[in-house]
Amino acid sequence: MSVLKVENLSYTYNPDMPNRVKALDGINLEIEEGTFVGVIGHTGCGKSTLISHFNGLTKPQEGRILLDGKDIWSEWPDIRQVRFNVGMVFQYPEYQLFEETCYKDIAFGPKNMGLSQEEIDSRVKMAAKFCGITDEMLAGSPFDLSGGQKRRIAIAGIIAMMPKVLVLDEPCAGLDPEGRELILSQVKNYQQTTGSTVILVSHSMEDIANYADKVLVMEQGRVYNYDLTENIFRDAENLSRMGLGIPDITKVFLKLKEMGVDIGTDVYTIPYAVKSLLKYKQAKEAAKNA
Amino acid sequence: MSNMIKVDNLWFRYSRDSEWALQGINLEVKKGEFLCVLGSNGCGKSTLAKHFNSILVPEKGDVWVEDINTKDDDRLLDIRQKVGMVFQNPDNQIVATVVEEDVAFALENMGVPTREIRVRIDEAMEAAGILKYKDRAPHNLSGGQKQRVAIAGIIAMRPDCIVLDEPTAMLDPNGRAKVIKTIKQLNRDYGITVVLITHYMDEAAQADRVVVMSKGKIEKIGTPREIFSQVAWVKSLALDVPQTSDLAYQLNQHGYNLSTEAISIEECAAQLYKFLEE
Amino acid sequence: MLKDITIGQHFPGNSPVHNLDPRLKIVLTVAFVFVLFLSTNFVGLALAAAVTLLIYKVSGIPLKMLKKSIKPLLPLILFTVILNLFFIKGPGDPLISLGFIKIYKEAILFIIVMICRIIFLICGTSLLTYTTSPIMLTDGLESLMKPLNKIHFPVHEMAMMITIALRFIPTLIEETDKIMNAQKSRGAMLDSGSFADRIKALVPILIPLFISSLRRAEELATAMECRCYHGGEGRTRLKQLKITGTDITNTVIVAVMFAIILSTRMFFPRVI
Repeated sequence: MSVLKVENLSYTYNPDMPNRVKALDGINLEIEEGTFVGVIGHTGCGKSTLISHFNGLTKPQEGRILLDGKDIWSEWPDIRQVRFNVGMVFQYPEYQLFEETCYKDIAFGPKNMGLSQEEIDSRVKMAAKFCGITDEMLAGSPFDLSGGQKRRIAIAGIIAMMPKVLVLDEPCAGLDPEGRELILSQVKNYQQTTGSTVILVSHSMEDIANYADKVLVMEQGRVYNYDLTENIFRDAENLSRMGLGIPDITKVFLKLKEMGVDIGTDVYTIPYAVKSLLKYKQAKEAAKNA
Repeated sequence: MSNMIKVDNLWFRYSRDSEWALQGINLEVKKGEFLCVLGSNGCGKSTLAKHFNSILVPEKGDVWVEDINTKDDDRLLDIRQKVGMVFQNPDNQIVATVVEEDVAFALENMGVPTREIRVRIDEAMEAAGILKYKDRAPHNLSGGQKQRVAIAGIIAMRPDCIVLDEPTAMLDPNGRAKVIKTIKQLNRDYGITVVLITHYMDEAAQADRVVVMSKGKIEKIGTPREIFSQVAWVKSLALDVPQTSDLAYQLNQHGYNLSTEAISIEECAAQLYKFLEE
Repeated sequence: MLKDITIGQHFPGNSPVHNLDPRLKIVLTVAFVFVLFLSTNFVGLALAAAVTLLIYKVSGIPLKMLKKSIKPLLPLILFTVILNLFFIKGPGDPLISLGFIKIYKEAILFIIVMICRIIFLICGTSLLTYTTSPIMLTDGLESLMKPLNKIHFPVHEMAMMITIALRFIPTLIEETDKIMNAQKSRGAMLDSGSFADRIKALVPILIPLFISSLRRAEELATAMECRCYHGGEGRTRLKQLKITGTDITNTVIVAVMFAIILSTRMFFPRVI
């Protein structure tokens, strides 16, 4: 059963003006519960507009969004209930922190949900654990922390609402390799432990390749492709032509194919590359010995 | 080759009771080179960069820009003109409401005559590839375009050296590629010394020399090849290596002997071809 | 949405109005305000209307822009109308008398003149911002205020501050939008609840906005220093203001028109 369903969604900025831009053009999409979905596409392909529809920050001009099979604008009690169920982590989320302590900031969402004090407390602790936030950090001010730590506080603030769907827009922008790795593995852990759905928007093909089960490729307001990650990368040549930065490792395999060694171009992570190279090599050696 | 910048046993901390942010840095930036300072967040690379044009001055030790000590207050404007600086957030370094007015800002401050300002900003905007946006408002440009406006504003001063502090951290891949291309052009075609501060290893791989920093100290200086071939060591500093080097390294764990110095896609593919077909 | 706000909107163009030196434009706008308030007869006001329309025609700014700039001020105009309608008394008998409400002829005349003045005032001053880029406007102000330097008034610093404010308004509006969306996503209620609730709901927006503005200010200051900024001393400009022959001719023409409007005072009776 799909947790989120997009039906024939279209959206145009400045519809009555000469400078109108069609940001979304008849999107149809079904996201299955519990999947880790990566979203890629150029700046301006409509991915930000699409995700802002998921929790009702933007109202569809045409089409509908269904959460748990119910239209978010007519069959849910009110839009805030939708927002508690579709958690949204924006770019540079650390800039939305405002409370004196990290604990209070993480509790802001759950408090707005009208939960009891004990429930809020247990949720803050649960979210802090997922995001690797120590008790000492919880008691301190968010403004004394480093950039990467602040960002984890902000993400914990969303996780504490325990949304069915967690949407993250470029959660790693500006972080160093260690910081990226930490945040993405925490999000992956959250998804696997709780069985919730994660939608990750990223420019980094490497990150998508390493974490996503399925990938949504968008181009000019349309869905170019939505499929399992390995199937998406099988189309590496076309992705490359669209100017989406495919991982270097995939480029190496494309080059090898050009040179006459076809091991497949759906290689997008290093462990998988090592495995297929060794398999090819061993098969070759076995053939030679036979 | 003579030095553009010389750092001599530099120690610095932000306040008396905080830890040393920089601990005994020694570094020579040669004229005309493309140097990259690589390190994870909080390793002190931005603090070091701010010493290059006297935004910060050493607590102990000295920094020299050509023959000027950065502690020499009387020569401050000379230092700033010789060593230009571009920062991470393009929004927070653009002053004016029109692109060309912003590019002219430094020259206006320097008291350059009006007619010459015109010539120099047109040159600078051409070099940064933003001449076609000269009458636009900066807030209507993309991040990459804004960053190139900031670069143009610096090269209009005709500096000998540009220091860029994580200029691509907030940009999308397209904007990043254009900014890096512009930086390389400035280095190659205009002979401007470039110091690029970054944590992106793919940007560092394009430099002449790479300085690796960790915890306020310089760990190693070398060519990108020398640095990135040491896969295990680079990873231990919480940094990335190119996937190409990593692949060779991982295969070697299975008892093979591939070179981790094959960084480019072509080199790597060629090496794998040999490996598979032999 | 916040994005729809336009402050000091500017329509680039190449008309004589656009090209007029900003200092002369500012002086003429101020003069126009005086002319309006010294026009006490309908002939003068009609001439003022004619002059305004003529200048709009020359500038090429579409008249429908006027409608846009007057619209937000309608409540104010209406308020003035109602207030004056009931409170201004004349020497003669009231025109209309309904119980304690008495409306005099003088009140109606006064209101007509007032409305004309307010509308022309908006038209005239809007024209200044429509046809002058913010940067030219600040340059013009800086240049006109230069004599104040003698009494140690920081003219250059003021102009620099206005420029930076204009530069950052769109950036901060965008940022406010982003923060609002982020807090709404955490269930903040911004558009419902009691007045006190709404004030409280502003805290999660104002604090991040304030912090980020401080950070921006600090970074901008460093970036300006890197570009050799050291105050107004010895500064040159990319665009130097220069009054051309055409500027002088055009200014004289407009000044003559203003004089004609003023001269109607001598020939026609005051209506108020």
